[in-house]
Amino acid sequence: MKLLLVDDDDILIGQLTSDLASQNYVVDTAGDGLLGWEYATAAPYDLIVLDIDLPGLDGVSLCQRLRQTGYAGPILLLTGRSSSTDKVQGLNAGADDYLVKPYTLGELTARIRALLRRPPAVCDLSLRWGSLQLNPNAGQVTIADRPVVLSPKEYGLLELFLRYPDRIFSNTVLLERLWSADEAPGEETIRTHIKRLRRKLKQAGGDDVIENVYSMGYRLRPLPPEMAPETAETFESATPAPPKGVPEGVPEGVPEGVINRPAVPAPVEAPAPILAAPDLDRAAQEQAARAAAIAAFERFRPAIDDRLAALRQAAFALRAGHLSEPVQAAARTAAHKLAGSLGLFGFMEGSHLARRLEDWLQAPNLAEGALFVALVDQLEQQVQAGPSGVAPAPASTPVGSLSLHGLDRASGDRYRVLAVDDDPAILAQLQRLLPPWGLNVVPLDDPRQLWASLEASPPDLVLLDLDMPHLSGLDLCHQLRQGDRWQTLPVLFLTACRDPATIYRLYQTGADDYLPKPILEPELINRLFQRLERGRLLQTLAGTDPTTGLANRQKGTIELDLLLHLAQRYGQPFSLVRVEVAQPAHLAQPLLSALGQALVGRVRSGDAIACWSKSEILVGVLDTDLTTTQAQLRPALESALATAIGVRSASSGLYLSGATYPEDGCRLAELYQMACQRRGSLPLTNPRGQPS
Amino acid sequence: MTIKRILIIDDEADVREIAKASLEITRQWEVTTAASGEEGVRLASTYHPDAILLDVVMPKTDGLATLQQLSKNTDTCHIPVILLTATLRLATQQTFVAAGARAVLVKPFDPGLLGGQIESVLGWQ
Repeated sequence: MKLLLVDDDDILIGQLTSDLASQNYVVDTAGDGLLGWEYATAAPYDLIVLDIDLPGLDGVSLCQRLRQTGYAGPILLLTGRSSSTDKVQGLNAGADDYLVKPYTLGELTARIRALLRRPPAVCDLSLRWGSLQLNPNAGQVTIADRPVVLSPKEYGLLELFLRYPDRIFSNTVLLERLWSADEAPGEETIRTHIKRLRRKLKQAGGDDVIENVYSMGYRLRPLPPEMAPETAETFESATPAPPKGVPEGVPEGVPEGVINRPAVPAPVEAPAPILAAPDLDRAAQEQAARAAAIAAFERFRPAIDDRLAALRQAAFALRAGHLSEPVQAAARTAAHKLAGSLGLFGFMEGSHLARRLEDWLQAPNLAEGALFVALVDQLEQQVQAGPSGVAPAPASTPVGSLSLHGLDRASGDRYRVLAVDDDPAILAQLQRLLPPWGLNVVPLDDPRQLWASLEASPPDLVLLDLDMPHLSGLDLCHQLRQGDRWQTLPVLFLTACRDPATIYRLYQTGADDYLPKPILEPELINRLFQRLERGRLLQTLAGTDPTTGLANRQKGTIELDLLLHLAQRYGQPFSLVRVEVAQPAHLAQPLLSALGQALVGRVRSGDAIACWSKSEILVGVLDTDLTTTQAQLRPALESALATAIGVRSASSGLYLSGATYPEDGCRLAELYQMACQRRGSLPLTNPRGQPS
Repeated sequence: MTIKRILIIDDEADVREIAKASLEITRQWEVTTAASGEEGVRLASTYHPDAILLDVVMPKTDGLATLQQLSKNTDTCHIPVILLTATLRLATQQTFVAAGARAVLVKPFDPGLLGGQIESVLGWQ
């Protein structure tokens, strides 16, 4: 490390030089401003200390001149003036820090060390990606030196990606970072802003800076090697190593990788001196604040133990089969408080668990008592283990409340999970754990059989082991995602591997989630249901009703509306027919499917047919009056009814009614209402129940 | 950079202390704390903070009641209040904003980023 001291105070220069030399710095000195300028232009310095009152050329002007000629290293100003105008003037001239006389030698060297610890990027504030440059001072973005006009939100997004090149930003995190709480826009807004940003950069001749990371969010696209010349290298070599005698590294237990700063994580000192050194790098301060929180954990341990005790009491009560109201209320308060506080100490997972417990306690389902007890056990184990290194990072990000799923599902409505693992013990464990939750396991110990198994019994979800002979889980996942057929099939990995690079690869290959081994039952069940229900949701969005295979209500509304619109435009009649099955759910479902199939064969390709609810089908027919339409559909319905199994009573519980545009109304809602009112006017009866 | 004065009102000592340390370490702000809504309302009128961090779930006077008292008092009605809540429900959070909170921050917060979040929601950057 080579420093330049420009000061006309010989005594100070003498002391400082010997002090810095003893810490292995190489120090050049200059007694006036002009000499300082000559030194600075003749040799590269890692840091320059300037007195403001200098003969020849004053410190502020020298500082300005150095910056104008491109000196990018840190500059520390020394002065006897303490007015804020002077400070502002000095800092505006390009100084990084400012020290007012009298100061102690210790303070000066501490500040020099702090400045040297900053990565050089701090000195050159511009953020670069290939020919793209963002200057935060000027708030300006350029591509190949041509300015690009961005809206504040687009600018904010770009700055965020450039500042944290390794970090993946989920929609939630972006919302939280760039939008205020009371704006509360939807995730769609983010997509729109990203799209616009991409378009503007592209129009300005830039490459696509932003990369979509499957199922996780967005991040800065890594620069292609030919575009990333020596930056990485100079960064490394120019990053000063901490001088001897300075505490190095991060205190134990400090969560790492919380904020993926572009450079080496800044070293952190104990919190006390940081309070006295406001010039410390912000990243270091953030780490120090987290370290201070973790360090405080033992002090607050008794309060946390009390809250855990309240949960344990509820668990005991559940085991004993009687959860009283006061015990439940106390446990709920405890869970709420733990959810809000554990993450502060680095127990992010603890906060998640506590939140799930709180959810459970809002409306306890005693049949799921075992799950509650298991979650409490898990939470206690985590707290016992002490603060983890788990990032409290996107911490205040809402994590999405997890509800407890499972037992409320109808017994016939089971999911099928294909588990691929060469370890028979894991397969056995899954076969033991999952069936009680309504999840059927198809075990597969040979990855090469995956395709045969998929064809034989298409699963709702696939669990893959990472390391297997012949074909790895990554290979399988990659192959699954290649074709269209299994694009949306949820894939979860089970792995003992915690290496971030591997986990990142999992997601990149198309995995939806991963679960660490050893398997924890509550974790496994919750994650599985999260994925499975998301799969259902995707199906809903795709517009198909899973039971009948007909268009669902959402898609049906669009199609029916379209027909009605056409009818209005061309002055044609439009008939809406409503078929209702008034049967218990377990009978209604198969009957509705059978009716759906029968009707599909009867309607013309331009007509609309939709499963409206668990007991209703709507058919929309253009250019045909209601009586004709019903007459056309009735035989199909009756034959479907006749062949349907399980409907053998005299009254079929099947109703046919309808309404017509324009007689009964002009809007779909009016027609539907009218059809509902007429229900019962045309009860269909089972032909077998009728006297022949 | 001006030094801000912050008042934290929370009945939980751990949250209070970690928030205080966080703001002192990362922003060098002056922070005072109160362990109840009543104490908070009293302190707010004499301490004149630039912003108040207020917990929602507290015994006796809860966050919303405290917020009401603060906004009724002419000494304190202009002070921006940020509610701290462990609830993730957006609807609940929106009711807080409707009740006059300037913003809602979710607990647990990241002690490293709390100061930045406050600056960002209050436009102090």
